[in-house]
Amino acid sequence: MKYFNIILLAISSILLNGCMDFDKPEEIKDLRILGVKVEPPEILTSFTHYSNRLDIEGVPVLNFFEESSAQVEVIAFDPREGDIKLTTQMCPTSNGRVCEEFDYGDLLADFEPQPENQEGLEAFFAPRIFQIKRPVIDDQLGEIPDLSFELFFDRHVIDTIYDTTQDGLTLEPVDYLDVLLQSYANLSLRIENNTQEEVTSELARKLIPIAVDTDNFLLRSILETQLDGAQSVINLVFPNGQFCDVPTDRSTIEEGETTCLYPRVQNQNPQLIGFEQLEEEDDPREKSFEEKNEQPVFQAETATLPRTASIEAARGETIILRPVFADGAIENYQTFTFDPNTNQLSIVNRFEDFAASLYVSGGSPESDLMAPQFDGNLDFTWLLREDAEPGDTESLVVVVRDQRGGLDYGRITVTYTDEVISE
Amino acid sequence: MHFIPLLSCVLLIFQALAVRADIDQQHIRAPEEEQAPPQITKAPELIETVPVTYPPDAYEVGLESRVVLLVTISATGDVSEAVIKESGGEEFDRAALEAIKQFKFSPAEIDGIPGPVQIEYVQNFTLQQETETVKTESELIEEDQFEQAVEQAVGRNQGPINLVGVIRAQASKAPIDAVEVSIEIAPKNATQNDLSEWINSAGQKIEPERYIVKTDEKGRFLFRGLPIGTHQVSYAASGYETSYSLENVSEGERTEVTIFLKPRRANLYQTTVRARKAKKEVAKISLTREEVRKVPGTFGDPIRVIENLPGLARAPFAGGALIVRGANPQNTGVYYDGVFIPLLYHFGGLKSVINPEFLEDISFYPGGFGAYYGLATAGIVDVKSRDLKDDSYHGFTDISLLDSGFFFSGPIELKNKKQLNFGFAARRSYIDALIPPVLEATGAEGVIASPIYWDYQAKLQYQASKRTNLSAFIFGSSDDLSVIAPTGANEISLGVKTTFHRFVLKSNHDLGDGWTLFNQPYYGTNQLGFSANSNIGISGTLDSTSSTWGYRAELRKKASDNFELAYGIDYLGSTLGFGFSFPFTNEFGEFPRVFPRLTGENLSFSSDGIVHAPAFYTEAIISPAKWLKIVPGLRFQWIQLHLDASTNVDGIETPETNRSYWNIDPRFTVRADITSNTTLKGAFGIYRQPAQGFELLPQTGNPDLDQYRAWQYIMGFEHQLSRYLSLDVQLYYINRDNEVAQNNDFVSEPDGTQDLVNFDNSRKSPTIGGELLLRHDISKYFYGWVAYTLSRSTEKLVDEAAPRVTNFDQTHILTIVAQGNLPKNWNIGGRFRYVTGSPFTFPAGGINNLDTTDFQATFLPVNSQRLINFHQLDIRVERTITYDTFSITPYLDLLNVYNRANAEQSQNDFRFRQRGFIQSLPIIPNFGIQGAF
Repeated sequence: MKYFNIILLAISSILLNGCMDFDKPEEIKDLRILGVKVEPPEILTSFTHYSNRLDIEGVPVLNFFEESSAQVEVIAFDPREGDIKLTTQMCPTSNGRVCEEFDYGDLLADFEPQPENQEGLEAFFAPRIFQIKRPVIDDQLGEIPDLSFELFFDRHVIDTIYDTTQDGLTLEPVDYLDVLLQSYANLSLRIENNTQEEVTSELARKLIPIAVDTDNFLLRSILETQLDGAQSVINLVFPNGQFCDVPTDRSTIEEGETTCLYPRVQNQNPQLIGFEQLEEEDDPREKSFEEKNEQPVFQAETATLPRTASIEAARGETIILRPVFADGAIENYQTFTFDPNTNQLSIVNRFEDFAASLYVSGGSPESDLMAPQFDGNLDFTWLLREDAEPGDTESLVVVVRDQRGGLDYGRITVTYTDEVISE
Repeated sequence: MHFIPLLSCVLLIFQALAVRADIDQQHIRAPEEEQAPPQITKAPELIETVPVTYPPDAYEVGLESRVVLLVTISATGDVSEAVIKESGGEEFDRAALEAIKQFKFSPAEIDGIPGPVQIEYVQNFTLQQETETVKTESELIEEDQFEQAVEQAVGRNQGPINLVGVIRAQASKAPIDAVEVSIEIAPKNATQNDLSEWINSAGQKIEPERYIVKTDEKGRFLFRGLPIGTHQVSYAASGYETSYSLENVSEGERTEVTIFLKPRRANLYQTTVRARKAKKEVAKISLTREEVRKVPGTFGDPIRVIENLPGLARAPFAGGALIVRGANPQNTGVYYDGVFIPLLYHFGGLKSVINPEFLEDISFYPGGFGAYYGLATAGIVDVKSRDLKDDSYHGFTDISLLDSGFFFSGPIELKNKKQLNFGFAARRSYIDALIPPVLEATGAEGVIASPIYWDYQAKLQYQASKRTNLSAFIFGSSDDLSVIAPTGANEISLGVKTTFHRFVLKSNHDLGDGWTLFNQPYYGTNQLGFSANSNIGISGTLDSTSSTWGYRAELRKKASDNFELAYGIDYLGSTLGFGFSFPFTNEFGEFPRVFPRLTGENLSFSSDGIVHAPAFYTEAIISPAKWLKIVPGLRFQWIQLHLDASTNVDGIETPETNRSYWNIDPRFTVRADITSNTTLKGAFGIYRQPAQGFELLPQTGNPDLDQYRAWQYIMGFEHQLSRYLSLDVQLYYINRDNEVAQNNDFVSEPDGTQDLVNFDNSRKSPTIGGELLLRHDISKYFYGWVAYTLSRSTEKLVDEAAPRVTNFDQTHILTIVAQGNLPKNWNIGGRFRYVTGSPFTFPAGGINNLDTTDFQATFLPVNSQRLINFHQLDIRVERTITYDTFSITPYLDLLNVYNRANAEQSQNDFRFRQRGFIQSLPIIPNFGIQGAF
């Protein structure tokens, strides 16, 4: 009976939740970071990079991980005036959730031998500071522009992220899993707005996935013929698993459990190309969960409204919008499931199921996009304010995420007409 | 056995023919010219008796007899001669003759003229068990003992009985003894003036005749020889309002009356005025049903009054979690008639699972309890069911906003003239009907909540003999809560169900010579279920079903006033049935999702097993001096746990588990009366409790866990400050050194696999504190208490450098309870509480996780902050309207009178910037009405 009261307390909390008059997550009233778009959203590394680190006899030391770069864009808003200061920093995830206490000097001291390209490491891990003065805001959401920078990944950066700063370190099987499955570089951000009244700040983090390029031509032979340890790991974690060639037509890959481990294909950001404004009969609120789940994410060559669009609408009107993505935006990928009853991993083929977040300057957006297990389309409604003045504008930002760190976003701005619709 | 003259059969047999012959021969010399035989126109009537002495020797050996006498009654009614017609034995004959010669009869009349007659009189000598004295009221009225007892009072003791009555209390109908019944005989030819004085025709004041008797223990009285007419009778008794009646006495008739006296309010608490000083224990506090029924803020539920006693921390919301001296609620044992029950309150504290009317008293041990109890390391709450011994039917009903229930009890007359008492009660809530409009009003649209609870009790009690008492008791409870909440397009439903039943047999035997024995076998079932379902195929269930049985027996010998010894058996057995099936976040290598994908099979397993927990205990009460009492005790506890081997849905086997524990725990209490009103006291004990089921299961816990253990040290004193005022002070230190803690380390199994430890016994959690109870016992107008607890409960995990306060630490707990009786049967009570805010861990801020779109808290040190201090005033007002055979009591329970915004739980906005608190209940009026007969 120990948890009987806890269960009841939880149920009580569910019932009582929402009674507080807190800020709403979907409303942009002050400083907000809505996302970080990284292009490309994941970094692929060569498996031979790790073979070098493993120092296994007979394995050629082929340290040919080329430098890879990624463009980082911070999507931030604050409808208030003030001086914006953004500080970003990279660090290994072993440092914790954020990088503010990460000391690059300590990291450098750990290297044995010292890395050749210390400037590159410092450039990667040193804090970056952006300062923007915004005396006047003419945007309801107060989008903060020019928060972009580029990251360069070299072998030492990758070593650091894997926390293997010493050559010859033997990786344990659990480390193989980290390498084989996925690892992350940690990006932390602190943004501040010094208005005349107050200083507000927000601390955020984003993981940049680093995955093994399993399509590397050496991988197969190494795993299959020479790297017994790695092969044993494969056998251990994926009973009956095997390496397969990627089908010519990737769309033929069926979702679900499989024994084939395909070469990894680099993830791409969702390609939001615009929106379609729907009629009343397409109101997703009037459809059952099953009906909505049966309609896939909408992909097309073009969209009626661009990613950043302006429309007119009556006050109090509910507008219905459908995000439109480029053909092929939905990618297939592989992941691994753990069966707790057998304590075994399995390989699973999946198709991306996008999730979206809606943020507004006013009005009430409503969608099922945050619902768990939702594989359907991303249609949503936006109930506009009745108390606005004709000519006023209202904005909505849609941030779409795939399941591997990819992100895209769009914006709809509404100009209120004279008409008023009361529900 | 003893001689009961009252039950001796007295027969007056008038043998008309024989009498006439005697008259012819001995007494009446009829004129020779008169040929017609004389006629008895009025038979003699026994108007005065004396006790008949049972021959002592015959009494000792249990000899009974019957004597038939021929009694000659003179013209004046005196016994002029008595001779033995049928002997019952020499001693019996002599006793009968001695008594009968002192009898007085009303003269017989022959042809209208008083004259001598002879009758045949039978005197029975019988021995009878006192406990078999079960007669109707009218029978008892006739019996000599009652007459004699009544006539010992100042009263009219001649003439036929012509006014009898019974006096009972209003509503409860309990007979009242020692009521002074005064009858005023109206003087002839007199009238009453404005001052109700009797005056004659000349205006002179005349004192009327007054006769006074007192009722016996059954509330009975009688008058004999009252003149014909209407007389004023008054009835006066301590604790009751004096009542009057006019009774008409008619020629040749007996007037029978039943009078109901209205209790004065103060007297309602008669049963609560009881000795507070614990005789044996150091920390036991007992409360009776009447005592606790009217305490405000308890939703009319008397069991919740224990929350107001020292040693118990305040539970969040209206919850009834028993946080005893800083311990986890699970470490306090809850018993109903000595039988363990899984929970005490419906829905975690709304109302107790025991109908208040089925409650005799509550014993609360915040610590230092004796060897009788085991399997608990903190405190004990033992609720005693109602002792059913009334000789009339009683009922009670309570209708309130939350639920309605009833209680009914009464006697059943058996063929053997013995009495079987029964009682049953039931209650059901209807909050399920009230919640929807509340949710709608609070904006929780679409949410459907359906909480239902019910409970029942039924008991049979049989006094087999003066020394043997038997009872059978069945009771049970159910809580069923389902919540359906829409979340976007989804619909999530949650359900919690808890049900238990118990069937208890009990016998108490007085074996004589100071030996007593009780036996108590019992059987029951428990069911706990939790389910969560959504309309998108995700579901989970957790259920636990078990049967439980046990046996308690205790043999106690009171050798002398200085020494008493008890041996006891306390066996508890239970099956274990545990099922678990919940989704598992089971994808790796996938980027963190907004919501983790839940696919594939649930993590599922089940576990069945059995537990045997026999215990043997012994306890002595030793008084080497009149002022000193030492109570040493030992409890030997053995626990055998067996879990069956199991195979989960994927064929993975979990081997069987066998684990046993045994321990001998000492308990020791000492009390020393250093003055006539001051007692020093102290206690020490070791207490253990096995880990919870899920903590021991191989799949979720650690079968190698040891038992929870607590070392309790208590010292203090009691002081009687005045007739009503007493003070009880205790200091305590409790060292809990074997608490279960979560452990996420892996250990290598023999087969090379890694296994999660889950739990270990590394947590230490001591509590130190002091408690004060200043108590005003019930007086005519007031009673109440002040309870204050100062304590600190800390815990230390093995990987933490310093201890921290526990979730249950409340530094100051002050409770003031006061009740007063007002005129017109009004009663008002108040409860004020002041409690230090509970510790909590509040986020210092949040980190916006841009991948999962939620904010993750950055926490300050655990329990480093406290909620605001709690204080609240509750008031209860009621008025009892009493009728002769029933009473009704409308009441208003007003919670949180000044609407204090107390905090129960911290809450924050999505970014952890804005802070708020879920508030405790606002001002809430709870109306209700109780009825009793």
